[in-house]
Amino acid sequence: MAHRTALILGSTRSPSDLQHWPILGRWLRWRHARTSAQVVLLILALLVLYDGFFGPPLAPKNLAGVLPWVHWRGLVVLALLLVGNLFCFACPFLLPRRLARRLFRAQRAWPRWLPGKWLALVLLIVFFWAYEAFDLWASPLLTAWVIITYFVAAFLIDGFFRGAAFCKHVCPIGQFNFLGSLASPTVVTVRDPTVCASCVTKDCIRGHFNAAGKLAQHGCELGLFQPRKVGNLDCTFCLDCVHACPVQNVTLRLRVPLITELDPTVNRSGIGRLSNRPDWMLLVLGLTGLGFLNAFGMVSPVYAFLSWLSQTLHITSEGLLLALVFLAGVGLLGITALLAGLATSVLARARSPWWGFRQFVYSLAPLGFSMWAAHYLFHFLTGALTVVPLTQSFVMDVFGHPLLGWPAWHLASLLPMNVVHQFVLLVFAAGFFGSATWALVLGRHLQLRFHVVLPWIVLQVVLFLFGVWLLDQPMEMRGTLLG
Amino acid sequence: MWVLRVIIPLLLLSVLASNLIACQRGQQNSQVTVDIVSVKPSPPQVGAAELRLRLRDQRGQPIVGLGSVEVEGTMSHAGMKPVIVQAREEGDAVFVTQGFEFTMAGDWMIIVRGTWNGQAFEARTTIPGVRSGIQSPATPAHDQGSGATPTHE
Repeated sequence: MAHRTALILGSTRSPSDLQHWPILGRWLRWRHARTSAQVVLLILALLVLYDGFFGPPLAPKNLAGVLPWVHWRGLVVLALLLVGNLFCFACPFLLPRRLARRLFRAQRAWPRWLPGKWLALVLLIVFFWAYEAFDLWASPLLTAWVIITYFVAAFLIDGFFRGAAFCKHVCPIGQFNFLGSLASPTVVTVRDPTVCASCVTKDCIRGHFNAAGKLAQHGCELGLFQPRKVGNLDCTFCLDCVHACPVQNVTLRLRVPLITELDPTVNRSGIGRLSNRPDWMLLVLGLTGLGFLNAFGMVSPVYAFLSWLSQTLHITSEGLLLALVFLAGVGLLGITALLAGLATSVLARARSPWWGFRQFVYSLAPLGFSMWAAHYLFHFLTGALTVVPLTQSFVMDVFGHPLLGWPAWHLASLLPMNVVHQFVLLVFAAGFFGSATWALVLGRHLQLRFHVVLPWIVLQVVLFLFGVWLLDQPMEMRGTLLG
Repeated sequence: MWVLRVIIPLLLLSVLASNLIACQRGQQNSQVTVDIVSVKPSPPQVGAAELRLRLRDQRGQPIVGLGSVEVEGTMSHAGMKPVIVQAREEGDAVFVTQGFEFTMAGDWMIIVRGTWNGQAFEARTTIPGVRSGIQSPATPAHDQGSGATPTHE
């Protein structure tokens, strides 16, 4: 009891506990912290929708062409690398969900025939295919429709199914954020496990009920039971568990990235053992492969390659060509990873040929995420300041006067191009370091000799060299692939 | 089912509104169109370039006597610094850019701004497939001609 009191009074202070930080800690303890962040992003989303539907059709001149594709993507990866899953925390798509819950009082469970991440995986691939096939980045109108679709989908799905079905099973952005948050330096976790050991109410997952027996605060709707929660996977940083815990034993804490995430055989609350989750495995492979393919789509050689492919296969449909390239790219990575896993299984004399794949496939996650991060940060660092003239232009058009001054179109890059290039290479190299370290530390944990892990290191080196080559290619801002 | 009765009309209203009110901000003046007469170097590649543009009115007649217009080069993907230069009139409604530069490979949009008959206008065209200077594989469409294969909006 004394321990609980100490926790409530905050006497067990630790500099790694973000709730004890000045100002930030107070805000995090505020019950409406998430809502306040969501409202900010909702306002931005509404501005993007307005300009997407009613603004100029040119992406560089439209908030819907700039804010989502330059700023939001860059800030998402930056937040994941420097803080945590802030954009799930501040997700504006979930605000209408509250309305949906009041309207529908959803009681239905998510269908068992759609378990885990399978639907999200399919949607992720379809989204990135559509991104390339329909040049979403170049169309403010289509961008606005994507956002509308997101709002409607979150509203309907969470209005129909109980819990956080949209976040857990559907949202492609969320899955990207979950995997990216493996590298994040913060985690929502318990302060003192012994307090949880004596807890009987389990409010962090069941929710906190007031004296009248009414639900006063939701617990974790993604099924993550704090005492057994491992790492950041499936955690939206919603802080429901933080506010539900009656003794304030849950907090947001600094951590060493990746370290607690390495072992796929650990039984994670709400997830189980990653080594038994083919959907998560394919999600890692898919996001890694798509990261490289998406970057490949930005460099000059892709034109020559697609031209050659078009002539060889006699296919002129860009969508079909892209679908083939996507399948071939992710398939090639999958086959290579399976071969690496098979080699590891044979060298380790494992009973199952799948053992090596199931153990080590997750080690590709940092490399895959760093490819995305390098790509998105390139766009952000070379175009962050374009929001200034764009906002000036927006205000001028809407109010009829240059209230914020005449658009300063010369503003664009945050850093010189050569510095940006070095920086994104550094980010990508950090991802490779993370992946290689993951494989080596896991190998050591499993008491494997170096040559058993070597196939994965070789695969990571090959991917790293391919990525460095990609990042060294001249960038192309494309809107057409086949002329 | 009442939910669908609410949401579907809302969606239809959104579509209707987007079609009715779309492009009020930054809409180009359809009274003036711009054609690319030539691009040097051809095919266009990253680096300094000279664009020769021709302005026409709604009837297709050349627009003369403007003196100079502003030419902005920007790209299909947001986040790049636009290239904004002046183009001087050279006769026969042809305007020649001064100091224009393709700063990156890819698809470029060319926006021409000026004043005609006392009204500000904005006309757009595109120059697709600007190549980086160090390589020259072209897409099939770009192989079909020696020029910049401009398209017009």
